[in-house]
Amino acid sequence: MSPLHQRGYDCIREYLAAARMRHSEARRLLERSHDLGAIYLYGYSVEMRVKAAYFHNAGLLREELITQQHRTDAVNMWTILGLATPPRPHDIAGWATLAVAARSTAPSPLRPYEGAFGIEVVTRATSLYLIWRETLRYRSTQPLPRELRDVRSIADWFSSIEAKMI
Amino acid sequence: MPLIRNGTTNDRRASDLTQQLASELSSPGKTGEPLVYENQIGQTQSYHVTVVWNEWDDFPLQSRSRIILDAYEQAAPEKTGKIRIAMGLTWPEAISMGIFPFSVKALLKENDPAELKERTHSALIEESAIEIGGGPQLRFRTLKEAQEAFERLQKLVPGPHWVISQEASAN
Repeated sequence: MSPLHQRGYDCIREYLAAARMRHSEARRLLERSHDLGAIYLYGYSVEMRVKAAYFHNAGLLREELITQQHRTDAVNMWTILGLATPPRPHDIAGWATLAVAARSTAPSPLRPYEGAFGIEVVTRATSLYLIWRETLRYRSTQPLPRELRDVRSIADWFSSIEAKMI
Repeated sequence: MPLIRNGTTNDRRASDLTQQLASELSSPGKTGEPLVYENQIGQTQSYHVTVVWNEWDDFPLQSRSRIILDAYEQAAPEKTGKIRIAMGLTWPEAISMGIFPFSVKALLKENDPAELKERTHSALIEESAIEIGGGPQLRFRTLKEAQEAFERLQKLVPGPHWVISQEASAN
Protein backbone atom coordinates (compact mmCIF):
# COMPACT_ATOMS: atom_id res chain seq x y z
CA MET A 1 0.00 0.00 0.00
CA SER A 2 1.21 3.52 -0.77
CA PRO A 3 2.17 5.84 2.11
CA LEU A 4 -0.70 7.62 3.86
CA HIS A 5 0.10 11.01 2.35
CA GLN A 6 -0.12 9.57 -1.16
CA ARG A 7 -3.51 7.94 -0.75
CA GLY A 8 -6.48 9.68 -2.34
CA TYR A 9 -6.13 12.67 -4.62
CA ASP A 10 -7.05 16.35 -4.71
CA CYS A 11 -10.56 16.98 -6.02
CA ILE A 12 -13.63 18.95 -4.96
CA ARG A 13 -15.36 15.90 -3.48
CA GLU A 14 -12.30 15.07 -1.37
CA TYR A 15 -11.86 18.69 -0.22
CA LEU A 16 -15.46 18.77 0.98
CA ALA A 17 -15.22 15.42 2.72
CA ALA A 18 -12.01 16.54 4.44
CA ALA A 19 -13.64 19.86 5.40
CA ARG A 20 -16.48 18.00 7.11
CA MET A 21 -13.99 15.77 8.96
CA ARG A 22 -11.81 18.68 10.13
CA HIS A 23 -14.94 20.56 11.22
CA SER A 24 -16.18 17.61 13.23
CA GLU A 25 -12.72 17.06 14.77
CA ALA A 26 -12.55 20.75 15.71
CA ARG A 27 -15.88 20.47 17.50
CA ARG A 28 -14.64 17.48 19.49
CA LEU A 29 -11.46 19.33 20.47
CA LEU A 30 -13.57 22.25 21.62
CA GLU A 31 -15.71 19.98 23.80
CA ARG A 32 -12.49 18.99 25.58
CA SER A 33 -11.31 22.63 25.90
CA HIS A 34 -8.47 22.22 23.39
CA ASP A 35 -9.26 25.70 22.10
CA LEU A 36 -6.23 26.46 19.95
CA GLY A 37 -6.34 23.05 18.30
CA ALA A 38 -10.03 23.58 17.60
CA ILE A 39 -9.35 26.96 15.97
CA TYR A 40 -6.56 25.41 13.91
CA LEU A 41 -8.85 22.74 12.45
CA TYR A 42 -11.85 25.07 12.05
CA GLY A 43 -9.62 27.28 9.91
CA TYR A 44 -8.63 24.40 7.66
CA SER A 45 -12.27 23.35 7.28
CA VAL A 46 -13.11 26.80 5.90
CA GLU A 47 -10.01 26.87 3.71
CA MET A 48 -11.02 23.62 2.03
CA ARG A 49 -14.58 24.81 1.51
CA VAL A 50 -13.59 28.08 -0.18
CA LYS A 51 -11.02 26.31 -2.34
CA ALA A 52 -13.62 23.71 -3.33
CA ALA A 53 -16.00 26.56 -4.18
CA TYR A 54 -13.37 28.24 -6.33
CA PHE A 55 -12.55 25.09 -8.32
CA HIS A 56 -16.26 24.34 -8.73
CA ASN A 57 -16.93 27.88 -9.97
CA ALA A 58 -13.95 27.60 -12.30
CA GLY A 59 -15.67 24.66 -14.00
CA LEU A 60 -14.06 21.55 -12.47
CA LEU A 61 -16.18 18.46 -11.87
CA ARG A 62 -16.50 17.07 -8.35
CA GLU A 63 -14.19 14.13 -8.96
CA GLU A 64 -11.81 15.80 -11.39
CA LEU A 65 -8.15 15.84 -10.35
CA ILE A 66 -7.00 19.31 -9.25
CA THR A 67 -3.60 19.68 -10.88
CA GLN A 68 -0.74 22.12 -10.44
CA GLN A 69 -1.91 23.72 -13.67
CA HIS A 70 -5.34 24.40 -12.13
CA ARG A 71 -3.63 26.14 -9.21
CA THR A 72 -1.49 28.20 -11.58
CA ASP A 73 -4.65 29.11 -13.52
CA ALA A 74 -6.17 30.34 -10.24
CA VAL A 75 -3.25 32.70 -9.64
CA ASN A 76 -3.42 33.86 -13.28
CA MET A 77 -7.13 34.44 -12.93
CA TRP A 78 -6.36 36.64 -9.96
CA THR A 79 -4.25 38.84 -12.22
CA ILE A 80 -6.84 38.83 -15.04
CA LEU A 81 -9.48 39.96 -12.57
CA GLY A 82 -7.28 42.89 -11.61
CA LEU A 83 -6.99 41.78 -8.00
CA ALA A 84 -3.68 43.12 -6.79
CA THR A 85 -2.11 40.58 -4.46
CA PRO A 86 -2.28 36.90 -5.44
CA PRO A 87 -3.63 34.59 -2.73
CA ARG A 88 -0.99 32.90 -0.61
CA PRO A 89 -1.18 29.13 -0.18
CA HIS A 90 -3.46 29.22 2.89
CA ASP A 91 -4.98 32.63 2.23
CA ILE A 92 -8.60 31.93 3.15
CA ALA A 93 -9.73 35.48 2.37
CA GLY A 94 -7.95 35.45 -0.98
CA TRP A 95 -9.45 32.12 -2.05
CA ALA A 96 -12.93 33.25 -0.97
CA THR A 97 -12.52 36.38 -3.09
CA LEU A 98 -11.38 34.22 -5.98
CA ALA A 99 -14.36 31.87 -5.54
CA VAL A 100 -16.82 34.77 -5.69
CA ALA A 101 -15.02 36.37 -8.63
CA ALA A 102 -14.91 33.07 -10.53
CA ARG A 103 -18.63 32.63 -9.96
CA SER A 104 -19.27 36.04 -11.56
CA THR A 105 -17.55 34.89 -14.75
CA ALA A 106 -18.56 31.21 -14.57
CA PRO A 107 -20.01 29.48 -17.62
CA SER A 108 -23.70 28.51 -17.66
CA PRO A 109 -25.52 26.95 -15.80
CA LEU A 110 -23.72 28.58 -12.85
CA ARG A 111 -25.04 32.05 -12.08
CA PRO A 112 -23.36 34.74 -9.97
CA TYR A 113 -24.14 34.48 -6.26
CA GLU A 114 -27.34 36.35 -5.54
CA GLY A 115 -27.55 39.67 -3.73
CA ALA A 116 -25.09 40.13 -0.92
CA PHE A 117 -24.26 36.43 -0.54
CA GLY A 118 -20.88 36.76 -2.28
CA ILE A 119 -20.01 39.77 -0.15
CA GLU A 120 -20.89 37.79 2.97
CA VAL A 121 -18.71 34.86 1.87
CA VAL A 122 -15.70 37.15 1.47
CA THR A 123 -16.42 39.15 4.61
CA ARG A 124 -16.72 36.09 6.83
CA ALA A 125 -13.65 34.44 5.29
CA THR A 126 -11.68 37.64 5.87
CA SER A 127 -12.87 37.86 9.48
CA LEU A 128 -11.51 34.36 9.98
CA TYR A 129 -8.23 35.09 8.20
CA LEU A 130 -7.62 38.06 10.49
CA ILE A 131 -7.48 35.53 13.35
CA TRP A 132 -6.29 32.31 11.73
CA ARG A 133 -3.00 31.38 10.11
CA GLU A 134 -1.56 27.97 9.33
CA THR A 135 1.40 29.01 11.51
CA LEU A 136 -0.83 28.59 14.59
CA ARG A 137 0.58 25.08 14.74
CA TYR A 138 3.81 26.61 16.09
CA ARG A 139 1.98 28.38 18.93
CA SER A 140 0.93 27.46 22.45
CA THR A 141 -0.99 30.66 23.21
CA GLN A 142 -4.51 30.62 24.61
CA PRO A 143 -7.06 32.23 22.29
CA LEU A 144 -9.46 34.83 23.65
CA PRO A 145 -13.07 33.67 24.16
CA ARG A 146 -14.16 36.18 21.48
CA GLU A 147 -11.68 34.74 18.96
CA LEU A 148 -12.86 31.22 19.68
CA ARG A 149 -16.50 32.23 19.38
CA ASP A 150 -15.90 34.08 16.10
CA VAL A 151 -13.93 31.26 14.47
CA ARG A 152 -16.47 28.61 15.48
CA SER A 153 -19.39 30.71 14.29
CA ILE A 154 -17.73 31.40 10.92
CA ALA A 155 -16.79 27.74 10.41
CA ASP A 156 -20.35 26.68 11.30
CA TRP A 157 -21.72 29.24 8.85
CA PHE A 158 -19.54 27.94 6.01
CA SER A 159 -20.66 24.43 6.85
CA SER A 160 -24.31 25.50 6.71
CA ILE A 161 -24.02 27.21 3.30
CA GLU A 162 -21.99 24.52 1.53
CA ALA A 163 -24.82 23.59 -0.83
CA LYS A 164 -25.48 27.23 -1.69
CA MET A 165 -21.82 27.99 -2.33
CA ILE A 166 -21.09 24.91 -4.44
CA MET B 1 -20.05 58.45 33.31
CA PRO B 2 -22.04 59.02 30.10
CA LEU B 3 -24.93 56.70 29.31
CA ILE B 4 -24.41 55.04 25.96
CA ARG B 5 -27.44 53.06 24.88
CA ASN B 6 -26.66 49.94 22.95
CA GLY B 7 -26.38 50.64 19.25
CA THR B 8 -27.14 54.38 19.29
CA THR B 9 -23.56 55.59 19.19
CA ASN B 10 -22.51 53.07 16.56
CA ASP B 11 -25.52 53.92 14.40
CA ARG B 12 -24.53 57.56 14.41
CA ARG B 13 -20.89 56.69 13.69
CA ALA B 14 -21.97 54.40 10.87
CA SER B 15 -24.00 57.21 9.39
CA ASP B 16 -21.04 59.62 9.71
CA LEU B 17 -18.68 57.16 8.05
CA THR B 18 -21.20 56.55 5.24
CA GLN B 19 -21.36 60.30 4.58
CA GLN B 20 -17.58 60.69 4.68
CA LEU B 21 -17.04 57.77 2.34
CA ALA B 22 -19.74 58.94 -0.05
CA SER B 23 -18.11 62.34 -0.15
CA GLU B 24 -14.71 60.74 -0.84
CA LEU B 25 -16.24 58.71 -3.67
CA SER B 26 -17.79 61.84 -5.17
CA SER B 27 -14.61 63.91 -5.00
CA PRO B 28 -11.58 61.74 -4.23
CA GLY B 29 -8.69 63.31 -2.32
CA LYS B 30 -5.17 62.81 -3.63
CA THR B 31 -3.73 61.49 -0.40
CA GLY B 32 -4.80 60.24 3.01
CA GLU B 33 -7.69 58.08 4.10
CA PRO B 34 -9.97 56.48 3.23
CA LEU B 35 -8.09 54.70 0.48
CA VAL B 36 -10.55 53.23 -2.03
CA TYR B 37 -9.54 50.50 -4.48
CA GLU B 38 -12.22 49.95 -7.06
CA ASN B 39 -11.54 47.18 -9.58
CA GLN B 40 -13.89 46.89 -12.49
CA ILE B 41 -14.08 43.33 -13.74
CA GLY B 42 -14.26 43.75 -17.49
CA GLN B 43 -16.07 40.57 -18.47
CA THR B 44 -18.97 41.07 -16.07
CA GLN B 45 -19.03 44.84 -15.58
CA SER B 46 -18.98 44.11 -11.86
CA TYR B 47 -16.89 45.82 -9.19
CA HIS B 48 -14.64 44.70 -6.36
CA VAL B 49 -14.23 47.45 -3.78
CA THR B 50 -11.71 47.55 -0.94
CA VAL B 51 -11.66 50.52 1.43
CA VAL B 52 -8.66 50.86 3.75
CA TRP B 53 -9.46 53.18 6.62
CA ASN B 54 -8.46 53.18 10.26
CA GLU B 55 -11.89 54.58 11.16
CA TRP B 56 -13.27 51.05 10.67
CA ASP B 57 -11.67 49.92 13.89
CA ASP B 58 -14.86 49.71 16.02
CA PHE B 59 -16.96 47.99 13.38
CA PRO B 60 -17.27 44.31 12.50
CA LEU B 61 -16.45 43.50 8.87
CA GLN B 62 -20.07 42.95 7.91
CA SER B 63 -21.05 46.43 9.10
CA ARG B 64 -18.19 47.88 7.11
CA SER B 65 -19.46 46.17 3.94
CA ARG B 66 -22.90 47.65 4.60
CA ILE B 67 -21.42 51.14 5.01
CA ILE B 68 -19.50 50.78 1.74
CA LEU B 69 -22.65 49.70 -0.12
CA ASP B 70 -24.65 52.56 1.42
CA ALA B 71 -21.97 55.08 0.47
CA TYR B 72 -21.99 53.80 -3.12
CA GLU B 73 -25.77 54.00 -3.13
CA GLN B 74 -25.44 57.70 -2.38
CA ALA B 75 -22.42 58.60 -4.48
CA ALA B 76 -22.55 56.18 -7.41
CA PRO B 77 -25.97 54.45 -7.47
CA GLU B 78 -25.31 53.08 -10.94
CA LYS B 79 -22.62 50.79 -9.47
CA THR B 80 -24.46 49.54 -6.39
CA GLY B 81 -26.04 46.42 -7.84
CA LYS B 82 -22.78 45.51 -9.57
CA ILE B 83 -20.57 45.41 -6.47
CA ARG B 84 -19.62 41.77 -5.89
CA ILE B 85 -17.07 42.36 -3.14
CA ALA B 86 -17.12 45.22 -0.60
CA MET B 87 -14.33 44.94 1.91
CA GLY B 88 -13.41 47.40 4.64
CA LEU B 89 -10.06 46.98 6.38
CA THR B 90 -7.95 49.01 8.76
CA TRP B 91 -4.31 49.53 7.82
CA PRO B 92 -3.00 46.93 10.30
CA GLU B 93 -5.56 44.40 9.02
CA ALA B 94 -4.73 45.09 5.37
CA ILE B 95 -1.02 44.75 6.09
CA SER B 96 -1.48 41.53 8.05
CA MET B 97 -3.41 40.10 5.09
CA GLY B 98 -0.53 40.88 2.75
CA ILE B 99 -2.48 43.43 0.69
CA PHE B 100 0.35 45.97 0.92
CA PRO B 101 3.53 43.90 0.70
CA PHE B 102 5.77 46.81 -0.42
CA SER B 103 6.95 49.54 1.90
CA VAL B 104 9.12 52.62 1.61
CA LYS B 105 10.86 53.71 4.79
CA ALA B 106 13.59 56.08 5.88
CA LEU B 107 16.92 54.33 6.36
CA LEU B 108 18.57 56.25 9.13
CA LYS B 109 21.41 55.60 11.54
CA GLU B 110 21.46 56.42 15.24
CA ASN B 111 24.07 59.16 14.74
CA ASP B 112 22.42 60.85 11.72
CA PRO B 113 21.78 64.57 12.34
CA ALA B 114 18.45 65.47 13.92
CA GLU B 115 17.78 67.81 10.99
CA LEU B 116 17.95 64.90 8.52
CA LYS B 117 15.65 62.82 10.70
CA GLU B 118 13.15 65.65 10.76
CA ARG B 119 13.29 66.17 6.98
CA THR B 120 12.78 62.48 6.19
CA HIS B 121 9.94 62.32 8.72
CA SER B 122 8.25 65.40 7.17
CA ALA B 123 8.68 63.95 3.66
CA LEU B 124 7.00 60.70 4.74
CA ILE B 125 4.15 62.56 6.41
CA GLU B 126 3.70 64.66 3.27
CA GLU B 127 3.29 61.40 1.34
CA SER B 128 0.63 60.30 3.88
CA ALA B 129 2.75 57.72 5.67
CA ILE B 130 1.09 55.63 8.32
CA GLU B 131 2.47 55.10 11.80
CA ILE B 132 3.21 51.45 12.40
CA GLY B 133 5.65 50.01 14.94
CA GLY B 134 9.11 51.34 14.05
CA GLY B 135 8.07 54.76 12.76
CA PRO B 136 6.17 56.15 9.77
CA GLN B 137 6.19 54.20 6.54
CA LEU B 138 4.43 54.13 3.22
CA ARG B 139 2.75 50.92 2.14
CA PHE B 140 1.89 49.83 -1.41
CA ARG B 141 0.25 47.01 -3.29
CA THR B 142 2.72 46.98 -6.16
CA LEU B 143 6.44 47.56 -6.68
CA LYS B 144 5.61 50.22 -9.28
CA GLU B 145 3.64 52.29 -6.75
CA ALA B 146 6.51 51.94 -4.25
CA GLN B 147 9.08 53.00 -6.86
CA GLU B 148 7.07 56.09 -7.76
CA ALA B 149 6.89 57.13 -4.10
CA PHE B 150 10.62 56.40 -3.75
CA GLU B 151 11.34 58.80 -6.65
CA ARG B 152 9.22 61.54 -5.09
CA LEU B 153 10.96 61.10 -1.74
CA GLN B 154 14.37 61.22 -3.42
CA LYS B 155 13.45 64.63 -4.82
CA LEU B 156 12.35 65.88 -1.41
CA VAL B 157 15.34 64.50 0.48
CA PRO B 158 18.08 63.35 -1.92
CA GLY B 159 20.62 60.76 -0.84
CA PRO B 160 20.80 57.16 0.34
CA HIS B 161 18.11 57.69 2.94
CA TRP B 162 15.29 55.61 1.49
CA VAL B 163 14.65 51.95 1.09
CA ILE B 164 11.97 49.85 -0.60
CA SER B 165 11.28 46.51 1.02
CA GLN B 166 8.91 43.64 0.35
CA GLU B 167 7.37 41.43 2.98
CA ALA B 168 7.76 37.73 2.36
CA SER B 169 4.76 35.59 3.22
CA ALA B 170 5.44 33.17 6.06
CA ASN B 171 4.23 29.81 4.84
